[in-house]
Amino acid sequence: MNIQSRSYFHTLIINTKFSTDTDVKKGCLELLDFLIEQPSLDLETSFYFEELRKHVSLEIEDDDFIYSVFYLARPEVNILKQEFSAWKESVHDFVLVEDKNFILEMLRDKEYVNPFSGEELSSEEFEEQVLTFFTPTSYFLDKRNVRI
Amino acid sequence: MTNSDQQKELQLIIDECRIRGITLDDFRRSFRSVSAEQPKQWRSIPSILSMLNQENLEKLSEKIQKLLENHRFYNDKLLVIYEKQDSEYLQELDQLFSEISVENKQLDYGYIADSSYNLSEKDKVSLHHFRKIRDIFSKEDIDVDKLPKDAQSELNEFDRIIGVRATKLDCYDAVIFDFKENLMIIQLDLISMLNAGEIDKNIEDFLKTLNSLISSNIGNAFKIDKKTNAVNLYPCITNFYKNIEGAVTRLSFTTSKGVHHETLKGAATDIRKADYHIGGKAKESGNIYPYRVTKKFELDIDNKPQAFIGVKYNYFAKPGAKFLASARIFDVMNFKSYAYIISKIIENR
Repeated sequence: MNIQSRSYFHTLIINTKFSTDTDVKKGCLELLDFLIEQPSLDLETSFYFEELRKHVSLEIEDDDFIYSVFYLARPEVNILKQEFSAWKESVHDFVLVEDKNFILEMLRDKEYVNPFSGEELSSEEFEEQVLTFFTPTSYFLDKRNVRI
Repeated sequence: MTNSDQQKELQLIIDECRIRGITLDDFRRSFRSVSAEQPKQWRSIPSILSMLNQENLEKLSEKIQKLLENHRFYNDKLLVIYEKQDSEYLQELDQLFSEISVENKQLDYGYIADSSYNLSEKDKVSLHHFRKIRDIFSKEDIDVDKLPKDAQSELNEFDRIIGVRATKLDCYDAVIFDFKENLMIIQLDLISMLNAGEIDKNIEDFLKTLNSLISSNIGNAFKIDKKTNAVNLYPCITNFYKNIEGAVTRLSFTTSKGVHHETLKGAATDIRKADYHIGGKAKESGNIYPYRVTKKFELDIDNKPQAFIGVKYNYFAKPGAKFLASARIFDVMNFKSYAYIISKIIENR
């Protein structure tokens, strides 16, 4: 990347202090490389972990990679937005969960149900029935071509 | 009624809602609207109810009763639409069904004339419920470890053991008269829970029941026309796909390479705008042939009705003129959405 003119978001991450024994900073920067260069990107573009993983080098460990994704999804960083979809039996499909807090509460309390059927789930079943993914924020889309 | 009686009554309504497929997510919205704690599980509902004061309990009861009533009226239905009906003819049937439902008359095929309603004064729409008990089948995983040892060894070779549970449930099939548009609609309840193979038979049984009631009371001349004279919704499949309004949420189609099924992934709202669809379609020079399509219309935050129109692949692939008598509607929870989705189905056929 050209050091003379960096993207606004790269600059933001470069100037942020991360713990030096992790590769989170590197992970964030590699994710940004991908997100900024991705040609078609809109509010409905959805990325699952497996997909984002392909754009982050393998020398970065899985835990650091996951932490990097969540870092970009922090409210104050506001690059990605975390969303959930859950299995809805009546339509035989995964459907976006609008009440995101419901899922976040389950994750916090470690008490899992399917948000639609209300069926109680083990953590493994929850992982199968509730998928998480990330979409770019409108803030990121507005500023992703800004270079400083 | 005492608080505890009211709790029990509300619990019964909630149980029926749950069996009818109203989601926990929907319930949380009702609880939130009366500022009650939102249930995290079905089984946490009784304790939340017991903590509500009389006023909030009444408010919540009213909300949930309305939710159940609207679900019986509008949601998860199969529709057969008859248009250009003579208004005097509709009046005759409307009057007959109203009279019969006052008496809760027992009819053929286990039907009972349940109740008649005026859905909209302004639009002149009435609805007559015909109640019938159906077995609703649901699948459940069986935990093999909880079975006796000898049964376990018998089942060892299977990865997953599934039980089928039949629940008896009151279903509310209906006839709707729209005096403004001169429409008559025959409607089956809880269509997502019916076995696909039994749907046609259920429509036939309902029509036979209505027609035997009609001919014995007002004469053969008033019998409802056979299904094949209802509105042909087959063209609606292509039109739903082509017409830009609304969003396509599910799609089955063929191309030169075979059959494809697409659903929405992640935050995508319209399959037609998704990269994977646009890319695939471009490779086929835009030549794709839909045969099952689900379309969602967003009127406002509370009204996002969906309609499914489709045929089986075998029928689609057969040469010759095609006919489709029925459409399915879901996520329809009030008259506004109901009237809207029906007008869209008719407009697009």
